[in-house]
Amino acid sequence: MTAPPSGERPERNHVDLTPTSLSTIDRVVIATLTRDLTSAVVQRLRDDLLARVHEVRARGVVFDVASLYLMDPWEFRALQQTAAMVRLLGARVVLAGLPPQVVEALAALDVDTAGFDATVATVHDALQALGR
Amino acid sequence: MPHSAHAPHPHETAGGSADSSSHPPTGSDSHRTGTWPGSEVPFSALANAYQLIERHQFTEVDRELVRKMGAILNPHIDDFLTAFYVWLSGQPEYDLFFADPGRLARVRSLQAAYWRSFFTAEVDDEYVRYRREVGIVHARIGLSLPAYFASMDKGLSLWMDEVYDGNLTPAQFLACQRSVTKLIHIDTAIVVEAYSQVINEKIADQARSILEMSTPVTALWEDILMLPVVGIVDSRRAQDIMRSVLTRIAETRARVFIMDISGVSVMDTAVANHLVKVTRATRLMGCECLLSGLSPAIAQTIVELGIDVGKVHTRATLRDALEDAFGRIGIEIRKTGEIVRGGAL
Repeated sequence: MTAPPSGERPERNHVDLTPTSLSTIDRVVIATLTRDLTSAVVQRLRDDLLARVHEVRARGVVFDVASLYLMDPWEFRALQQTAAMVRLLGARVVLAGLPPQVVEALAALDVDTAGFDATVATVHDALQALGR
Repeated sequence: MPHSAHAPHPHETAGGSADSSSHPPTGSDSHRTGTWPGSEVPFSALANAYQLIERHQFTEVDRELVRKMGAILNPHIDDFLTAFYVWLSGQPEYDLFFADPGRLARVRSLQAAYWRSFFTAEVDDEYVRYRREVGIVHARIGLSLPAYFASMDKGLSLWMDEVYDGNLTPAQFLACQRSVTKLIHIDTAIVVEAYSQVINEKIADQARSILEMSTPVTALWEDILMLPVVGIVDSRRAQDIMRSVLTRIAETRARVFIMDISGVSVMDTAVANHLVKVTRATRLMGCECLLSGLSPAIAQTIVELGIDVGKVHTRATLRDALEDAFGRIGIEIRKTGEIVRGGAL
């Protein structure tokens, strides 16, 4: 488990906090992340996502991050922690579609990438990884 | 309503209040045997007569003035009580507590005695004990403090406005009235103190019974045990859980233990550590532990507090945990399509 991110993440220029679209297929929740993960967005994501996971008794969650252009270590840790929360509710978590520039940056900064059950290229692969 | 239907003897109920009230409170340890730690102040620690007189500065002059007033008012006590009960019968509590005419007569005679003792203005241990008993009884029967305050206020105004014959000079009357009020405040203080004491004991009792609630480890299926954890998990409760779970695992040789924590009211580092400890212990007995009933809020709390639950298997619902448990012991649940409808006559 990683240490909690310290401090608040400042807002960039967003007013709308709807962080993601959540869709559910066969008890797998797909969270499509489309915007910078500020503190408020992360909190909203957690509230919505965990409620959905609980509601549908999800067996898996896919974080689709393909459309994120940038992800800094703080954002990545926030995502890891959200994954830990989901796993506490008994669902597995797969990270799908990390863009190459993000991977490169995280690797350069030596970020610990643990905390996900699998990391795959596409949502399709993620659904396969979650099986059944 | 300074009196009520039945006045239990204080020795049966309050743990000896009369014998100890003449001394300032000293070490009270001898009175705490068998009580929940920190929950109660023994009655011996409540204010005694001497302290009350000091605190309210009830002087010899006050005493004389109350007696003087008493000499005027006491002969009319029947008028007073009649008026008082007329008022009381209009109160919402009346039907609840005084519906029985026998009880009403009993309370009325107790009240006559109360006011007689009041107008002696002899604030001694017996005086205090008597009023304390009033507070205890009120608390026991659930007569509220606001109702008691209202009745004391009504009593005072009845004495001063209705019964008093107006034969004192205004200055004398004012002084008497001041002293009577002071003594009424002393009475009220005693009653409220005893009342709160009883309520505190009740609360402490409830807290104790919640903590002492049994930990019913149930065999849900062959090889599957289940325990719903409800309420507060402190180290003592965790120990109870640990002991009963391990005993049951040893008895039944269960292979899966489901601990459902949906009824746990507070989750913090300490509680989580207690629970993780239980899961570790069951694993040592060869029994896998599944934690079910994690709410989204609790999941967030656990991660935000940085609590490491290690290898514990957690599930959102008991249903998921049960499915998981069946999987682990190689049992498959399937629908047969047959449904039993209705009940036999």
